[in-house]
Amino acid sequence: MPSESLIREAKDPDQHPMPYSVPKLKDFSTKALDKAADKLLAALAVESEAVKNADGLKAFRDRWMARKDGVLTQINDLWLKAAPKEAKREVGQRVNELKSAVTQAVEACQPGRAKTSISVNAPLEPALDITLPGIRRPLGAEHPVIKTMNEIVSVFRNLGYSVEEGPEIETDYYNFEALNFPANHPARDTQDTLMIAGQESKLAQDRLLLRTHTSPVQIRTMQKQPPPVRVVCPGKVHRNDAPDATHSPIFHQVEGLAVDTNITFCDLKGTLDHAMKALFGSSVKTRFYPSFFPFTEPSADVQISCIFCDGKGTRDGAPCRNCKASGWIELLGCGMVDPNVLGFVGYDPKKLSGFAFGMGVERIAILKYGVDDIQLFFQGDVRFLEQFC
Amino acid sequence: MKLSPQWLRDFVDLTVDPQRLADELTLAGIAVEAVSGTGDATVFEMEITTNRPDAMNHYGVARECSALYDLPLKAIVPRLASAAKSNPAAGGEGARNARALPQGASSAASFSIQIEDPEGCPRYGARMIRGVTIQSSPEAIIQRLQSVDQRPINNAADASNYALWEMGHPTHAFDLDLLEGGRIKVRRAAAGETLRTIDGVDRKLSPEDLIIADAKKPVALAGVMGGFDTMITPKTNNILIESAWFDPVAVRQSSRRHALHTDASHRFERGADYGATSLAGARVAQLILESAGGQLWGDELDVIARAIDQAPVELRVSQVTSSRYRSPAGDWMWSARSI
Repeated sequence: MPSESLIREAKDPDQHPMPYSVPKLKDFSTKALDKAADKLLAALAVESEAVKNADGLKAFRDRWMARKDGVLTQINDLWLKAAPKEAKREVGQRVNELKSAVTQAVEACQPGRAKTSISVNAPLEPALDITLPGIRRPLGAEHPVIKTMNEIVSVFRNLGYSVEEGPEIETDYYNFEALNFPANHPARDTQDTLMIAGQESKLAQDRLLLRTHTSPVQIRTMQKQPPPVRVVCPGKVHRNDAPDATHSPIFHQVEGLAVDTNITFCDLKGTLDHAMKALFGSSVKTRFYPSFFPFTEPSADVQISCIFCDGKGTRDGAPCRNCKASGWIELLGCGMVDPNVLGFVGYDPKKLSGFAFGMGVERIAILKYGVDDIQLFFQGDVRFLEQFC
Repeated sequence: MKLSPQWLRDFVDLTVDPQRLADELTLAGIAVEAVSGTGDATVFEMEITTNRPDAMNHYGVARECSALYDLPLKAIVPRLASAAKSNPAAGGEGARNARALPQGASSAASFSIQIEDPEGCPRYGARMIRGVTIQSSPEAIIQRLQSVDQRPINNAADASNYALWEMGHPTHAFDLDLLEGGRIKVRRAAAGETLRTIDGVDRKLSPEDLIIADAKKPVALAGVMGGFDTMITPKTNNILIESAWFDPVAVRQSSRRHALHTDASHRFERGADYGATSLAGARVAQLILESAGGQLWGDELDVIARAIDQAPVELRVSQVTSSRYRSPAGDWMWSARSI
């Protein structure tokens, strides 16, 4: 027969509710733990509601938080200490959660505080720490190829050159014919052109292709303005080259053109010598030797003294790899503008002369920054690119 | 293009060492990309620009060296034995039955060249040799060809190849007896004609292809590659040496159409020497006579369908004198003007 006290309590809801007693746990699975925790929290809620006066509060606190026999001590003994090794971690976590729930409930019952009921499913998340710094978005940085291109362009800007750009998809006329590459001439083979398909119905000179150099921009410039001309033409160019460590089907060039009434080869040499010193340092030397481009006559290739071995050809006793022990690195092509080209744009070759030059941007970036594989510029790997910030 | 500095010494007395020669040629505009080997076995890897077909051979580079170092340039003077002489080649295969020909028989009577396309072929020269023995070339020829990465084949084919690498003019040797009808025609192909080239590939010819044909069939893709059926074989007794000049555009178009790029097409495309055809034919004839025996048959044939004149080079004296000035010491000096 239930004891009198029990019956009395059950019948009289205004009286203190049946105090919660901590059951022994046999099953330490997550499900069982959940169940036990829920029961505890439910009892906690009921009891805290029932606290009406200071005595009730004291009793409530003692029942749950007393060091000797309080619920918290009991769950520590009966649940945590009794838990098998593998469950101890989880049980420990639960016990901590329940501990803070109980403490909160007791606090909430203090006189002067609004009695708030505790929801059995109170989320026990950490509060938001507003003193943490915000999440910063990283800033972008200039791509090394663009950086180098801008550097080269600024050297010439400082000499008074303007910048001109043009389309990447060009006609055969601007890319070849107007530059003195006759139709069916073997000099065209030196350029490995990428042609656009389906152009057979067009006249040969109107056929579209991906430009193989930025020289077409020089023609376009001369067509739309009268002399004198001082321009640099940076931009992307395309060639049918299989990609490897030193070749890429897409790369960038900076070409330059100066046309006036009194331009000589001396001016060309002086301009390029200065430009190389501006890019690589004042101790770098240049040398010119004859070459061939259909749009310049005479044409020359320009080498700079190797910046890795100071033009000596050897580094630390071994042959310098970068210049193949020659002490020189080829960098530019140049020449005096062929009178035929001036004729194509309607300039008078008897009154005017000019020079033109061109260089590969990636090649210069590779030298300046010690990159060993041109493909690195085009792979978009942030670990490579962020080194140039 | 490979070049042997030792070979240059046939024409110019070079004393500089190979490395210095490589540097100085490069600085003169004939770029040496790489040097391998040592001493007499040194080989240069050349990068000759499109505008210098004259330098795409040993004699041309020797000419450049002669100018660079102010040395005399020895001429190529083929000495051809007269038609009556010439012993059968050493090699002990026994004397071939060289048909006894009347002295001074004119080839024109029995063999004719007809240029039907003067645009495509302004000049066609031919020499004939009878009674040859086809075998390996002499050791010196083989060694020279191998030094520039060329594969020796037989003494007649090698003679033609040697002359190309020596003086730069492409020639071709046909088996004379396999040319039908006693004539050569230089014409465009007819629709439907085919040719098996010496690489063994059967090719469909286009009406734009300039070809060498005999009376019945195509025998060569002009300036590009000879035909399989008329090539020199160990059975060949009689040879016709072709030394001609073909229009660069025609050769280039055929070369691209058939995806056939050869040492010959490379040089014709960039402009071979119109004036060298006779000399080249004589040189090849000399080499064949020396290595294969036989004798020249008749005179050289040289048909000119279209004269190619050398363009005059204009010098504006005003441009030269206008850049002249007196130095403080009173000497005339010249500023570096471009013309």
